[in-house]
Amino acid sequence: MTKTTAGSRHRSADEREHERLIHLARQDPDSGAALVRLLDERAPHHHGRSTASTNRLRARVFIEFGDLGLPSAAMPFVLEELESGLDPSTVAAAGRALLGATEPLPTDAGPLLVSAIERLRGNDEEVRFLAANVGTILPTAIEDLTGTIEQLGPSAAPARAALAELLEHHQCCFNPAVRTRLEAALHRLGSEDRPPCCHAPSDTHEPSTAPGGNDATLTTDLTTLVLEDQDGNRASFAERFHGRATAITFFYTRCTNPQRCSLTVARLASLARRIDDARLDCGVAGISYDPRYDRPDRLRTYGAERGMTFSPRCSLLRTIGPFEPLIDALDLGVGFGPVTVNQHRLDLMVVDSDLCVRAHRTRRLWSEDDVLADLNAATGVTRAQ
Amino acid sequence: MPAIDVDEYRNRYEQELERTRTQSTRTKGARSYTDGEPGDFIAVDDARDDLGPRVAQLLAVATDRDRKIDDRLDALQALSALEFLGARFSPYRAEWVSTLRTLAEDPRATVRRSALEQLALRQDPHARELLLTGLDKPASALVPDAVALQFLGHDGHGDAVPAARKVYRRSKGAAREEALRILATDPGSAAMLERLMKDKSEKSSVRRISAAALQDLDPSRFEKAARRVVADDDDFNEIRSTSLTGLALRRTAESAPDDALVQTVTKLHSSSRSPAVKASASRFLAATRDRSET
Repeated sequence: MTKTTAGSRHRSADEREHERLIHLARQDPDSGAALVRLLDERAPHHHGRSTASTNRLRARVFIEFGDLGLPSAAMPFVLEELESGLDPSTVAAAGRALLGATEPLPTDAGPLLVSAIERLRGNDEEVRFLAANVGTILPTAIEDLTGTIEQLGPSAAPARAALAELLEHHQCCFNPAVRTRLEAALHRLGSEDRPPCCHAPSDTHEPSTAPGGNDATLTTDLTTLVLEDQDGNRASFAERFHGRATAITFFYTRCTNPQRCSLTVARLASLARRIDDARLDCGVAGISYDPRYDRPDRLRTYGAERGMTFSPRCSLLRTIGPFEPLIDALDLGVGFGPVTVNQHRLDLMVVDSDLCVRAHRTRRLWSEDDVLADLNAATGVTRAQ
Repeated sequence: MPAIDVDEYRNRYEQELERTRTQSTRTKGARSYTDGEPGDFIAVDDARDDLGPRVAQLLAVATDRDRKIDDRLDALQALSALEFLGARFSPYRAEWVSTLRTLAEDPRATVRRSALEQLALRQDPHARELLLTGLDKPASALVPDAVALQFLGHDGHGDAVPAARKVYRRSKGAAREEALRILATDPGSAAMLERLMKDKSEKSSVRRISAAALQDLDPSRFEKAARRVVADDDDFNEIRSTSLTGLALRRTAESAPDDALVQTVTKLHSSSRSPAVKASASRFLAATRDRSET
């Protein structure tokens, strides 16, 4: 089928600003670290920008990693985007970043490329990070990700089973040319999965340390911060969480990415049921990034639609007043556009009964098993003390 | 436009909808597409069909500037309908979106509008940029301000709020009203919406949009403003009716029974000659009774 071409593209002021930021980062003696800083959701250059703008800058930075080399500090951003990114171009760019890796890829990098293709099936579009003139044929995000798998070849070998399954069950979702390329990519991965020793272990299940190191006690400012729950009940952070280990995560009801906030709250609901079933003395809570918009009735509806049964141990909350103290105290990865969140990572932390942060999971989707283990550990630590 | 009771309006709307449906079915049946006509696809669709040739044909018609405008719009509509096939349409989706992005800058205004609308519904960043550029530089706008804001309103993130503020300040009529609808997603605009809701010199439509927006953004603030409007015998029936309906819907736990307000509304119910105000007052009093019984 003949491809149509995208409309003529002229560089917007936004794109020119991104060019400037990338240029400055490239001039930095440690250009890799400077580029990673451009990805930080809290950085000033993201403040007040639209989600589309922050996505575009992310994509540009990922492309740079593909060309200049992928620093290890950037890998969590890349895997995060492949795992739960929504914008097709940014996800494809994250795939390209893997081509700059000089060290063995984490074992889940290849499978995440395949899961990204699967996720984008109904949402594919031409990539926007390549310069296009009228008449230029640009690859689509799925074509680009397929090309990345082809280029990675055996380095992406752990993707083999997932790719074979994708081709077996979903081949009708791809046009003949893409199917042929996916089959070629499968062939390039080799006939058997590489032994695990050829790949770096994935850190999916390992929580990062708590802010300020393990056993970080929350600041006084935060413990007195007032939170309101889905029923309009107000209590300070300390009153709400002291005395019981709690898994706390963050979300906002306007989030349009089903892999982020919606899934987070649905999993939190499921986690709460498992805690009840196991009769553990623990709790779960979700706190909104968008407290002015997420009023109690919105929180209640949003949680109920995702299976939450509210109780003192299972609640959705918002701050009364600004959200910023939480960002600083808990080292949250979130940035804000003109009205609401423009970019955020996944953040889940487990605080023990003395309000010490015992585990902090960032960027990657968390499993209920892992968080239950964190909660058990936090409970045990408290008892030992 | 005279005030109209909401139930009566709903009845009229449903009758109109039914009439349109009947006409639409007749039109489609009479057209009896011959092979190769854009709309033909839907009639011949079958799970075993290969969509490729049909999609290619429709894309060719949609992008052919020498074709009749109706054919091109029909092709766009048919392609849009094909999206409902889900996985079967997936292989062609990228090309479809690229075509829409091209058509968003088509010389024909109706084609541009149709393409931009479909892109806006999927919150396409390219379309968003085109629309925002048009609001910033009206000379290069692809669609009128009001339409651009309507399309940008599909983005729940409120990224169009800064542009909406500018349009609100510089425009009148439909564009200003659409700007207000966008500002309804911005908690920072609550004070302005409250002021507009209470401002008797504002157009009735502006006040009602502001009331609905405020009710969603800040129910407590809305309740205060609505009580004032309802109690003001000099205010207009439309906004009093809107305010009463909002108060009737507001059944939050913190709302304590309020005898003064109930008395005001009871009096209004018996004294008002406006059917809309009477109907809203009835609704409010019924809701109050229900609340006190539970």
